[in-house]
Order: sequence, then structure tokens, then C-alpha cells
Amino acid sequence: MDFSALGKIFEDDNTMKSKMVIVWGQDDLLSWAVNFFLTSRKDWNVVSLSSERGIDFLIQEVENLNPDVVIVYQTKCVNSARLLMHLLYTRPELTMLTVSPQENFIEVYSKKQIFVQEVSDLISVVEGEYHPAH
Amino acid sequence: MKILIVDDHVLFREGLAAIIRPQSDIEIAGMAGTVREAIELARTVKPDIILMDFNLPDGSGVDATRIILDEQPDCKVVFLTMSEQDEDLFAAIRSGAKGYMLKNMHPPELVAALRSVQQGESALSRAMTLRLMDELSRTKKAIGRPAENTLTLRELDVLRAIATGMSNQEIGNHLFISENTVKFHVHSLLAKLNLSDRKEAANFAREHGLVK
Repeated sequence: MDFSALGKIFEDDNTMKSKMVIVWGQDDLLSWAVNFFLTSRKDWNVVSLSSERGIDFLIQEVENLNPDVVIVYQTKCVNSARLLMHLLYTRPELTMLTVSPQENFIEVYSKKQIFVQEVSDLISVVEGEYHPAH
Repeated sequence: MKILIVDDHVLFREGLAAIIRPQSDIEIAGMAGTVREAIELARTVKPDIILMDFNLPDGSGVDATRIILDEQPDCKVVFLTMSEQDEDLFAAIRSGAKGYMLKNMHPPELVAALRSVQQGESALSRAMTLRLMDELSRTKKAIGRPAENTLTLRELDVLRAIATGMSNQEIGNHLFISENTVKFHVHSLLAKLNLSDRKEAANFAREHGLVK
């Protein structure tokens, strides 16, 4: 039986982890800080990956670990729009954050997938008025 | 030692605090996100060391440093920044900072640097040290032998002509000036460049790309 479908991660102590987060960063002060703040949440499983290992390694680890959230650094991401598109396109459940080392901003990316019930769904999406509950 | 952290990047600022807090010999006296807050907090808490970002929402860390050091000359300011621009490094040092470190450093290096600064040493990232050394080297060369940009345009014309092997009379004819005027320019440019004769002047012109 494949328990990975549950989307939960179990540690050795059988503590259920409610979130799997991958941080793709460098060995610097900001990366340390981000990891520190995330790992302070004991119910999250935070995995740090070095950006020096390249985009392909990250994509492979996302496949392996099935994270809920991937955090990348904006400087790395500027040249890696391909990465954002690839991950979001193939994993609609994923949320991606970019953290800027320069600016006090976090950018949030996620894919919105809409099951079309009526033509008006298309129209309302274009108009920015789509509400899934309608 | 008492530290004041000045940075508008909340994650970074709180991260620095998290790195420093476990150190028993270092106390975080305050945190600021703007030039104004930095100046006000520095007056209140009188820190030993300020970790200063370069770019702040209401101005530059250099501006804050000048004001703070004017009021508290014993305070030590260390820039911690993303900027690797030479002009930022030199502006920070001219403002009186004791250090200039890049944010890509590792946490243990930061703590070690703070302790060094407290003991009276300076703190420079390796890359910035190299830039500073390069600049000092260039400045030393310029002092020993003034660069060609200290010459007047006419002296540069004469120098280029010397490098082509022209005599003073030929230079005069070429530039439509008297031979005595040429002699005056030659004497002047040799003195400015700290050169002893025409041969050295010709070599100087070739070395500095003034002639093809």
C-alpha cells in the first residue's frame, strides 16, 4: 500500500508532519534564518537543498519528497522561470514562494485549476470574478 | 557587548537576532528598520556595535552612520549588505565604518567578526578586502606617478607626438605652436608624470595606450 498518497510524513518518533517544505537556498545568513524560522514549527518537515546542486536536482527531489511548499531565492529564480513553470504546471497542489534577499517581499505562486461546468466559468475567470462556490 | 541591528528586511533582521541571541557575551540592544529609527535607537541604547544595512527605506546606512558616529564616536558600525559595489564599500569606509561584510557569509563568521570588531579590529569580507587592496594599489601608483588625466589636452598632444619620435621643432610645426612653447609643455609633462626624459615619456605614452 502506498501511504505517500496521504500526503503526510512520519518521522522516526511517529510524529505526524502536517507540512513538507523544501527550501532551495544557499549556505548564507538569510537561508539560515528561513530554515530557523521554519524548523521552529515542529509539525513541519523542512528539507534544505543547496541551490549549488542545480535545478534538475531540485525537480528530482520535489518528485521524491512530494512537498506542499517549495521556497526558492529570487536571485536564483530570476533565471529560472522555467523552474517555476515546470513545478507549478506538473504539480497543481504545490505552493511556491520566492524570497528576495534584497527586498522585504515574499512572492507566492500556485496553480489554479478550474473544472468547467458552464461557459460562464470561462467568462467569469477572464473577468476576474470566478468564485469556485458559485 | 551591545548590538543594534539596522535592516529593513524582516526575515533577515530577525534571523540575525536568532543567530546572535544564543551568544552569552552579546546582547541585542535593539532593532531598527529605517535610518530614523537607527539614529533614535542608537541615542537611546548606546550600542557598542551597529550592524548596518546599506540601503534603507528612508535613506542610506552611510547617512545614518555619519550622524551616529558624530554623536557617538566610540560606537563601531559594521555594514552588512548585499552590495558588492566598489562605491558603496568606499562610501561606507569613508563614513567611519569599521567593517563591510556581505550577507552571503555564514553565521559563525558573523559572530566571529562581531567579536573581532569589539576588540578593535576591522571586519571585511574576503571579496571586499581584495577590492579595497586593488583600490589602494591603484591609488599608490597614481600618487607615485600621476596618471595621464592630470595633463592638459595640449600636454597630451605633445606627449603623443614625443612617442612618435618627433623633435620639438617637428612637434611645433605639427601643432602650430612655437618650439619654445613645445619645450615648456615637455618640461611640464615630465614634471607632472615624474619622468626624467623624453625616452621615458615615450614609454609612458605607449604603456598607457596613448599611441598605437
